Parts: sequence; structure tokens; C-alpha cells
Amino acid sequence: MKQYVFLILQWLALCIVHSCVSGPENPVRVAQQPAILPDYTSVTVPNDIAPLNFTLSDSSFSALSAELSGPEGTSFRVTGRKEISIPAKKWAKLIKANTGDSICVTMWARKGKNWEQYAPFSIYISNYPADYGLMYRLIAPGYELYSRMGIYLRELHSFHQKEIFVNTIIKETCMNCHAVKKGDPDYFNLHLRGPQGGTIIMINGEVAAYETKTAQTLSNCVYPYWHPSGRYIAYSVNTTRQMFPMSADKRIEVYDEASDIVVFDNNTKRLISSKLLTTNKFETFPAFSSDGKYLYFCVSDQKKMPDEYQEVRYALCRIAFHPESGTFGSVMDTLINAPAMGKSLTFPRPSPDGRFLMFTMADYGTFPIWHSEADLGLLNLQTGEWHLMDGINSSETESYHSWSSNSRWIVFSSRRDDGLYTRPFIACIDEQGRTGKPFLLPQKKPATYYSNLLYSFNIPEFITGPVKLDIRKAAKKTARKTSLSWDGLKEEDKSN
Amino acid sequence: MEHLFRYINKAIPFVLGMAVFLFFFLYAPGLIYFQEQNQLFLYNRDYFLQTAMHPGGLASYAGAFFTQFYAFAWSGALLSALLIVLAQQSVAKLLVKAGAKTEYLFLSALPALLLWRFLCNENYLVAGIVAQLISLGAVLSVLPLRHKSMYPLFAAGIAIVVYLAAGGAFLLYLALVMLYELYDRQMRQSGRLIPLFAVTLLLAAGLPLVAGMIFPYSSTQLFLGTGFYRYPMENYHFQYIFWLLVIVTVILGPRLPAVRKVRTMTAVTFGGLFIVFFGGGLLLHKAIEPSLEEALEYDHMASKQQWNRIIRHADKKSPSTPISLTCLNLALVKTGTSEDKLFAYFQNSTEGLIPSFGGDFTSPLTTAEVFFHLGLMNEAQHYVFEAMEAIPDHQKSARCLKRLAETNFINGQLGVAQKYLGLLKQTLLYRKWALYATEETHPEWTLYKQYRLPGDEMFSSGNMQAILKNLVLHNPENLCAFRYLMAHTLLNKDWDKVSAHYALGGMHYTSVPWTYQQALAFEWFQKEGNFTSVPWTLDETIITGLQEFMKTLSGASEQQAKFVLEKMFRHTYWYYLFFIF
Repeated sequence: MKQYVFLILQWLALCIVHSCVSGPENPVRVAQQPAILPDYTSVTVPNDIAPLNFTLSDSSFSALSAELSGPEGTSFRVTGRKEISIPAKKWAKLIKANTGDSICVTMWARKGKNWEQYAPFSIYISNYPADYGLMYRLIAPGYELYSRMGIYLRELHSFHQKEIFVNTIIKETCMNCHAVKKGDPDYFNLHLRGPQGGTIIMINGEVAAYETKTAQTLSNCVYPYWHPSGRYIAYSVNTTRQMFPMSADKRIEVYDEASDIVVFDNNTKRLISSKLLTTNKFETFPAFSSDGKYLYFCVSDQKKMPDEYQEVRYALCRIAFHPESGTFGSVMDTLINAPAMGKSLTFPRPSPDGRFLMFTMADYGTFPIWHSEADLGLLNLQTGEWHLMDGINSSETESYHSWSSNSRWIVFSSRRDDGLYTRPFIACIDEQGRTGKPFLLPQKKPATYYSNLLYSFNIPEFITGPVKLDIRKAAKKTARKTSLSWDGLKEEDKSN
Repeated sequence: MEHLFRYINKAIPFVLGMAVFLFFFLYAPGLIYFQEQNQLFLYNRDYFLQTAMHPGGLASYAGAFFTQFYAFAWSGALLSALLIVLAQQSVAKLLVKAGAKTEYLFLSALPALLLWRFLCNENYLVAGIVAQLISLGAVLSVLPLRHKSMYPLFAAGIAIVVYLAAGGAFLLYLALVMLYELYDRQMRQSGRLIPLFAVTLLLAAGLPLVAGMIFPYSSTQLFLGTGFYRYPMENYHFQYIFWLLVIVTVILGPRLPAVRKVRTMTAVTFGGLFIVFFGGGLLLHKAIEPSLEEALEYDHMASKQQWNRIIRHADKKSPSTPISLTCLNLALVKTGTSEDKLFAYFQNSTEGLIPSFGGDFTSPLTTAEVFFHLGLMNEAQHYVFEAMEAIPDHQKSARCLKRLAETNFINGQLGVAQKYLGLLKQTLLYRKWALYATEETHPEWTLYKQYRLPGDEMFSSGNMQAILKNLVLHNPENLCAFRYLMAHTLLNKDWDKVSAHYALGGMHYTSVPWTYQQALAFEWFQKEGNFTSVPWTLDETIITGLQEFMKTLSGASEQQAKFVLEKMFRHTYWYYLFFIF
């Protein structure tokens, strides 16, 4: 009996040995760096990012091998038949040890009987820490109808993704407008649409649900942006429509027939606004400055819609905001007159340290995700100069973006992969506004994850910790939501 | 006599299986196709994890596995028959274990007939049957262990497995396990009953509650089941009606008195069989909605481009639904017979030609077929995508992905096309198509590229005629668009535009097609009042026919005229113009 067991063990050992990929022997050297998927060559990453697993874009290989090394720490080799799956602990040790420096990746691919060795590439490990994770909505890039969707939290240091809210819990529910205050999950906003709709606002564990449509406003409140104090949330109210181009290079055009900006005051549970934010023009995309003293927003001249949809162009403006009194300034400054350049500026997002403001720029319109020419731009709030972020833009859509809490990382939506499915890219940005090469959010199985995924990553936001929201309790709250009321236009008292 | 009853009890599954097979294969193939077109079964680990890793997930996965074979009527009908027979056999075994007499085993057909009835609802999923089978199978596997000391622990462990595999159907398992405990005198006397009952209640309530902390489903779904019906959080009665029937059958069976006399035994058996099948017949009578089945069959034929088959169907029985009519009109256009035969069939305005967007997960697919063949790729893509997103249980669709791969390919969106092809390569039945999907193997794609409209024009279903006209102007060789333009003009009763639109494509014909002659003659006559200097060659019968028609029309009341004219002119443009809708 014992000898049978021994034989079986021997056989098993042989199987294990032979099933391992044998290392590269006498490789043929290739001068170029490998074309890997995702492209992690020369990217800059935080020192606690999940392993950057990758594969070769040319699928004519039978095995891959990669050696990861750095000036500090222990180098190690990884092999795989379909992809390079880097062991998490070894990876974490290596990149931690090389914070502020770079690691080197040498790669081999077996094609036919031979191994090819590629020129090594570097991955830069930033000194700047990143936040805990990303929050985003996963939704199909569709038209008007929707299937399964949810808001998810993904840890940056692992591959773990957890649902915050999924529409399998409440029938026929759409959700959007997830937003946190400078990445702080204790200040959380979410809007649900459907039979049990409402806006859920959670502040330090206290959950409330509101009906935000009032008789004086155009619609429910959307496009939320928290005031740094946590007392106010700026929203847009819009009547949004879609139309469908027949040309091959466009799928959808989204436009507003009307839009205004309102601010929710959590102390009074009312909506306020300013006459500058509720004109006949299209005011939208509000964002408070990092010190809370200004409200940035986008405004376009009123146009006859939908006929003049290609003439809708938004400029970046701001007005003063006085958080103590909940009043607005009476002067509107134009910071970037995009319409004068024949462009439209949307999604203004100031950095938490107050130095910069990132935005999206397209040829026209209010919904840049459907514009392949849409790119990201950066405004220096101190100098007033701005530029397009050529280091991170692509020939496809770059659209929504957000800052990490320390202003050193940005995440943005890009359709550079295939032109339709939006993917989250992260890039490092320094105090001078210079960016590192962006990297795609890493996944455990990079060879198949994104190619098999039929959902887009929508509105990615950095977040500093888990969202402690009980989905079922929050869903029950919407059944007994409170109706907000309108508190009128609040102008600053100039006599003071 | 024992032989006879054994033979009868073997014949029941055979007869039942044949009946189910023939029913679905001959009478309801549309329902079979409908199951397959609303899912995407992928042969990869992620799909398995995503589908199976929730209560009832294994049943959903197995159900989806079987459903992929519903792409063919014969295999779908066969699988339905096998699953239903398996249910019948399971209940029969349960009856035997409960002590029912052989002559009463016909009762096992009742729950199976109910499942058959469920499958006649187009939204009841195969996974629903699989879940019940898992539950029944689990009961049958634990019953032999009833007298073992570890049985309660084992049965409780299996309950957890059944819950994870079959979801809410574990309640059936728990109920049956308790029932068999009650039957067993030894068990009743052992004092084990009460603790077992307590554990059963604990499991029945506790497992869904624990699952609620992990899985994002509503409480009702976690208790009563997911994945058995295409509309989540609805129609739970499909679950508990079946469970109740099984329990009642298992309770009733053993209680029916033993029959000693052979004659009585025969009467009971055959009488019972007769009642069961008569009852089944009543249950299944009108179980299939004919108009729905018709629409699904037509849509399937259109998706497979079986144009002549569609026309043969219509010749036997005129289509009665907008979807069927849309498919028929598409078939007439594609076969070049719409010019002559448009009004050989009942027409119902332009809604039977290019229906408006329905917002559901079925009708947009048919409309998308029309758009595709017209060269309106964006709209074909739009409608197919919406139809897929509208699938109520959040499934994706292989049929939709295939069409989306095509439209994206034609539109030059190769990255997206490759993505969809990549997914289809991970299926069993679409893999081959996806592997060889290139412009070389699909020369019609090159043609459709040429049909696409340039410019920034927006689609509007209210502007369809103008769009069709633009398609023809952009590419006069787009005969499909021309035929649709003419059909739209006729069905929309725009009699004063017929000649202008005919001029855009008339050069394709050596002689003016029959239906167009009718319309041109009418327009000319309305404008000119006579038939002199008619610019087209019109058949004499057209002119005399129109004259007779107009004479009768003007000489009688509308109702009288309709009655008189119906016999001779029912299948003419003029009759449609004046008397239809």
C-alpha cells in the first residue's frame, strides 16, 4: 500500500513539475519593449497599488515570463500561460521598498519553440500615497433603457470590488449621482430613479432620503458636488433629452433643453440658488472651490433645442459663495471662455489643495462622453493659465475625472480601449500640474476582464474608505422620503 | 396484472415525454427560440462565478446551459421533454417511498403537467424547472439515510447545499423531508420530530436571512427564489403552487386505499390516467397565446433571413400581429415581391412596416432587422442594444451581440466589434460564426457600408419617409430602401407623393410593378381627372378597375361601397386607401 502511495506522490510531483512553464533558455532578444495589455510600461503608480497583472497584446505566444526587480527589495520571476499574474505579497514588498524610485520589468514570451526577450521597461513608484479606493457606477453604455447596474467600491491595493448599491434589490431602479466630499465616505450622496426613487444623503452614518424636485425647479437634483464643510451640496437641475445621429462615428447626442443650479442646505433641508444660476441660459455642472468660497459652474447661451445643438458651448464661470450665510455673490467671473474658441467646457473639478481645476473640453455640447474629441484640460487657478493634458489624452473620449484627497492623483474615464466602453485610468500629478503616464485600473485577469466586461466605469471617484451604507435600510428610507422645499434666491448682503 | 401496471408506469414517462416534445416542436417552436435569444451562455470561469455564486445560482447556471440548446426547436423541445419527465419520475419515486400503491402512480404526472404549463409562459425559465429537480433529487438522495444516526445533521447540511444550488426551492426540500419524518412511525416515536421541526424552521428562515447579508437581492427573492422567472421579484406563485402540488400529491398518494380486485385496479389506473391527461389537456388548452407564438416564429425566421419561408407561412395564414407583419413586409421587400404583393396581405399602416420603438425586449429586435437591411446601422444598433438592456432579468443576449458585432463592424467600430466577437467565441453555437466573421465571408457588409447616410442628420421615427428618401438619394442601388420608401408612401396613404417617389427608383423596372401601377393610376386620376398622357405604361385592367372602383365608391354610402368592393378589390391599394384603418 505504501509503495502505491509513494508512486502516486511521485506521479503527482512529476505532473506539477511538467505543468510549470520552463524558464527562458537562449532567448532571442527583441530590441523593442513589449506591447503589453494593459500598457503599464513607464507608468507611475502609488506604492500600495494592486499588482499590475498584464499580458502580451500579440496573442501568438504559448507562455510568458517576467522578472521584476528594483534597486531595493528582492526580485522575483513570474510565469504564466495566458498572463503575468504577479503574487500580491511579493509585489507589495517590492514596490514598497522602491518607493520614490522605479522597478524594472524584463519580459519573455515563448513563440513556437523559441523564447523572445524584450527590452525591459520601468514602472515608477510614486512617493505620493493614493486613496483607499475608487467608487464608480458600472452600467452598460446604452441609450435610454438600462439593465443591471450598481455603484461599487474597488480597493486600490487589492482586486476586491464590493457593491455599495445594486439595482437587484429594488425593482426597476436606476441609480446615479454618487458623490462624496473630497473622498470622505462619511458624506455620501446617491440618487435613485424609479418607483422607489429619491436622493439618499448620508452624513456621518445618518441616512436621509429626499424628494428633490420642487415646484420651482426643473427636475430632481443631479450632478452633486459637496461643499467642503459638508453642509451644502450643489446640484444641477436639468431637462435632458437624447437624439440619435445616423452617421457612423456618432451614436448619441445628449442635450439639455434647460438647466439651472441649486444648492441644498442640510441645516434647513431646503434648496437655495442665485439669480446668476437660474437665468434663461444653461447653467450646469456646479463645483465648490476647495475652500468653499466659490462656486464654479458651466454656462452656455440659451439655444433653440434640439435644432441648434451644435452651437451649445459652455464656458467656465464662478461666483462667490458665503457658507456662513448661505448666500451667493452678485458677480459672475468667466475663467475660460471656451465658446469663444469654438469649444465647450464641462465637468469642472477643482483640486482639493486649491491649485488647479481640471475640466473636459469638447467641440460642443453638454455630454462629452459621446464625443470622441473630448479631452481633459487643466487650469492653474493661481495663474489663470490652462492647457490640454496631452500626456494623458488620447484620440478617443476622455471625460469624467476626479482628484484624490491629497491632489496628487487623478482618475478619469477614457474610451481609448475600443471607443465605446469607458475604462478608469489613474495618473499621478505633481505640484506643477505635470502628469505621469496614466495606467488602467489593474485587474486580476487582465487578458479577459476588460474584454469580457459589458459595462462601462461611470463617474469614477477617489474615496478614502469604505462606504458604510446599509443598502436595505437606505432603500426603505426612499419609501418615506422627505420633500424638499424651495428657499429662494439668496444674494449676498452688500451692506456687510 | 403486475406486468401490466409496470408497463403502464413505464409508459407514462414515455407518453408524457413524447407529448411534451411534439407540443413544443410542432405547436410552440417560437417559445423555444425565445428562451435562447434572451441569454448569453459563456464557457468561461467568470461567467460561471457570476451566474452560480448566489442562492439558486447553480440552477440558473444549469438552466442557462440547457437553454443554449433552445436555439433549435428540436433540441429545445427534447430538453423540455426530458426535464419534465425527470420531474414526473422524481415525484413517482417520492410516491413509492411514501408508500403509494402502484395503481396511483399516475398522480406523479400532475406536477409534471404543471411544469409543462409553466413552460408555456414565455418568461418562465428553464432554470425554474432545474431548481425543482435539484430539490426533488436532494430529497430522494437523503431519504435512504433516514435511519442513520447522523441523518438530521446530514439532512441539514444538504438543505444548505440545496439552498445555495436551487434557492427558494429548498423550502420544498425541507417540507418533504419533514413529511417523510411524519410518515415514519419509528421516527415519530423516537422523539426526534420536534427538534427536527425546529431545525427545519431555523433553516427555512435563517438561510435566507444570512444570505441577505451577503447577496444584493430582495428578501422575497432570497426566501422564495431567483432565476425562475424572467421578471425578477414577480410571479412567485410559480414556485409555491408547484411546491404545494408536490406536497399534496405525496400526502394524498399513500392515503388512497389499496385496491384488491383486478377490475377495480384497472379502472382506477386507467380512470386516473384519463383524468390526469384530461386535466392536463384543460390546463394546456390555450396555454400558448397564438398571437405571441406567431410573432416569435416570424421574428425568428426574419433573424435567420428565411424570407420564402415567411411568405409561405403568411400564405397559409395571414399575420395578425405587428411583429409578424413587419417580418412579412421585410420578406416581401427582400424577395422583390413587395411591389406586386404588398396588398395581397392585410396591412396595418406603417406600424406593420417599420414599428415605432416599443421599449420592450422583443419588438425592437424585429424593427432592428428592418433597419439593418436598409443600411441604417446606427438605428439597428440602437434598437438591438436597447432590446438587450430591456431583458428583465439582466441577461445579455447572444443574438443581440451577434447583430451588434455586425453593425459595429460595418460602422468601422472595429474595437467594439472585436469585443463582441470575442465574447461570441466563448459560446458553443455562435463560436464558429464569430471565428469567420469577416467582410470576405459577409460580402453584404460591404454593401451596407455603402448604404449608410453621411452627415449629421438625426434619426426620428416620425420622419421615416424622409429618411428612406435620403437613403435612396444617397445610393440609388439601395433597392431595399426604395421598396420601403414606396411601401411607406402607400401605407401612409400619401397618394400624392407616389409618382415623385417612384421616379427615384423606377429605372430598376422594365415594367411598372402591379401595386405601383394602382397607386400611380390613382394619383394621376386624382390630379388630372383622366388617363390621357399618362407617363407610365399602365395595364388596361388597372385603368378599368380604378374606374369601376371610383364609380362604385361615389355611387354608394361608405358601408355599402365597402361591402360591394371587398370581393373584387380587397387586395388592392385603393381598397386599403379608403377602407383600412
